[in-house]
Amino acid sequence: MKQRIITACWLIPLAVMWMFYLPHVAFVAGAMILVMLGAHEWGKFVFSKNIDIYSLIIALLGALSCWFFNPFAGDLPQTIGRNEVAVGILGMGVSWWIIAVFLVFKYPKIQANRFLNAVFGITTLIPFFWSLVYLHEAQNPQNLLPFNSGSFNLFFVMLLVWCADSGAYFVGRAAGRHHMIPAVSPNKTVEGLLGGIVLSLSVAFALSFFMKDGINFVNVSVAVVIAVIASVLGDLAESMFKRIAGIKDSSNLLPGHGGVLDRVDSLTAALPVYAFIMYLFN
Amino acid sequence: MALQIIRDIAVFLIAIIILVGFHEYGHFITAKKCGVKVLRFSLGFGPIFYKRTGRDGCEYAFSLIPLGGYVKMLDTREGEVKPEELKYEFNSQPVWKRLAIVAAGPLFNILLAFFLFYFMFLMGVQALKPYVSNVEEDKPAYAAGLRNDDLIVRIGDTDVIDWEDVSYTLIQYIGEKSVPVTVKHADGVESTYDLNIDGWSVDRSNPNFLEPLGFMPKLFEPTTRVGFIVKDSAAEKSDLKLFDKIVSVNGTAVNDWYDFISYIHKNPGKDVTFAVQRPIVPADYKGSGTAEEFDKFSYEEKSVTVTPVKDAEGNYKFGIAPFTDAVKSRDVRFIRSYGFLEAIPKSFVKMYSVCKLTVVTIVKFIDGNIPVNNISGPIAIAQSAGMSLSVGIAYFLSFLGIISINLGIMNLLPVPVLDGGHIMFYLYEMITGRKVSEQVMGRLIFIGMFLLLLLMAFAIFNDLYYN
Repeated sequence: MKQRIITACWLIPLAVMWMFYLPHVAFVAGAMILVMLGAHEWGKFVFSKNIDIYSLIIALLGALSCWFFNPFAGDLPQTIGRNEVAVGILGMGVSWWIIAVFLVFKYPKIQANRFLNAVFGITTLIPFFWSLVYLHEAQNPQNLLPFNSGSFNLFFVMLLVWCADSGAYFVGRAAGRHHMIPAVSPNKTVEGLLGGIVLSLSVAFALSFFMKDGINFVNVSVAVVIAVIASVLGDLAESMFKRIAGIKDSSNLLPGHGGVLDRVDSLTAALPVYAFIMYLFN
Repeated sequence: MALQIIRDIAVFLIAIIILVGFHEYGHFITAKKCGVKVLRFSLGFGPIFYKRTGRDGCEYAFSLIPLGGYVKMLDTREGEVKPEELKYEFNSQPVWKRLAIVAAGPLFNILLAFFLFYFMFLMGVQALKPYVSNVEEDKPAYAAGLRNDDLIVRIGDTDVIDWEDVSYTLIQYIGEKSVPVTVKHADGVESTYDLNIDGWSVDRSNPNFLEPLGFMPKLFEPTTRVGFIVKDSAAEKSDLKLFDKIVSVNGTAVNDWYDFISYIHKNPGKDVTFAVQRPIVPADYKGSGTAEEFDKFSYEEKSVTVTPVKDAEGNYKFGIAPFTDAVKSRDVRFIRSYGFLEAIPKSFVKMYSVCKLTVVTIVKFIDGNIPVNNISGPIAIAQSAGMSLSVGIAYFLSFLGIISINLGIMNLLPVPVLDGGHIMFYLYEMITGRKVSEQVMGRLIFIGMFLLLLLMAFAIFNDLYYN
């Protein structure tokens, strides 16, 4: 517990600085580092030892998507085809998470081979990277936030995921009866999931309340519920990969919290899915 | 600059030690009174660099990081407790005792503020002499006989020394038809007038609650010179220039600023032709720019016509404010120190109003009326602390009192990890008769900790960013 708090003491200021106070270019660089650390850990899931060629591949693909997307463009006129590539990469993420539902429910009867697991790393991390960039740079007046800024956009989704997590914990503890997928995660219950959704929705509505212009409550509800379900799925998928690899924590990079992937697992699914829905709504 | 930083840091640390020390002392003394054994009372946290064991068996310590402090009590959750000492242990105390121990810290902070304010009032605070200004001709004050620059000396039978006295005394007459007001004119003659206050009451939404009566406190001594021109106003778009001295408006002589005000009150919306004296300021002029010096310059006569602009509230605005006479304005203010007894209700009222302001500010922050970038952290506090001390001890005491109340009230917020969070757990226990399970408490405390760290990160980065 003490170790957990000490880690939080330097991790939180770092995260706040990264998300809110750095210019977009530096933010993208930070996101790249985060994803590479994640890839490094994914390499261990798949190959049971440190294979950094894998994180290199991820970095290259990330850089490539940067080149397509030009996240550094800022206010410059949009690159031709930018939106098409955006929807392509985010769509890739969404399709993978739909496959993941199937894999998680069928575990351990159906398991993908090593090559596919390596591919899943790419389909998890690249859309994750891109959703970070996309949400951070977005200046949509139509987003779900009281603030017209990408940083808060990102923070909003993170807040939803934490709320879902905490709501699930407390409701699951108090009233959890029906286990969702005991083979992957013995602690997750259907009641907990519902509790998480209710808490996230309440927080999202509370935040939407501050918005000056009218917001579409149907859109908010759809985006929040799907993002929350995706976050649980992200959590489950990581547990599944860790089970396949036979490890408990993805690494010990963040003492008391495990590895980077352990901390962001829910976000790797929630962010691309949320960004994709936002894209559709706009 | 470097010296200033050292001063700020030193003052900040002194302030923290006083505030946190008193807070922890609240926990400490209540714990002892409740019969809980205190193992250590530390100012600062982290490694201990000095400690002494008292006769009561408690360790009194100074620790390395002077940004806080703690009281460590005998507690089964934090270590082994010998069986014979079990009754001195915190966790098994009746819930009201635990509640008292936890609540005492924040309450002591509020109490400390009272004493700080008390000393401040003994030392003296800046006050405004009750000179009358802005007397409007169609309102009760003018009808009674009050004129600009009259000094109010008595209301009813009560002598008044500053504007606060005037407000408090007048409020006591609410509901009466009229109140006798004694004023001293500029020539030293006193006269008593009957001020009609029939139907007057205090409107909470209007801070200028004297406005319906048609007079206001004089805050400074205006001259007839233009001292400020509002951006994009009617005046800025005209030929009127800063430091022009207004001689007449549409042929009506202007002897003081209020002549101008009463003229435009009587003629709303009318174009005004100002006859002005425009000073010719020498290029090498390096004076202090007082009203007297401006009067010495040679000038040219000008005539400028300005069309006032109607604002959102339907008032016609020119967009000018008077140049103030700094020397005469100083006479309006004075330092008022209070007697030992007088200062008690004053400090109490001040304590109450700061508490209220703190709560209102927190509510406004939560409902989104105050943007996130207005949160300031330790760096801004240190700077203000250093600055307030350089203005005077009384200001520093006031500042310290305000921070103390802030600390107390923030600590009472129902966030786990803060005292208010523990109070919430104990209230839950009082209502349901069951303790909050340690696992749940641990998780809640982690969430509270997380939120607190998030807020602190914002505060510190804001300090760095907006400096």
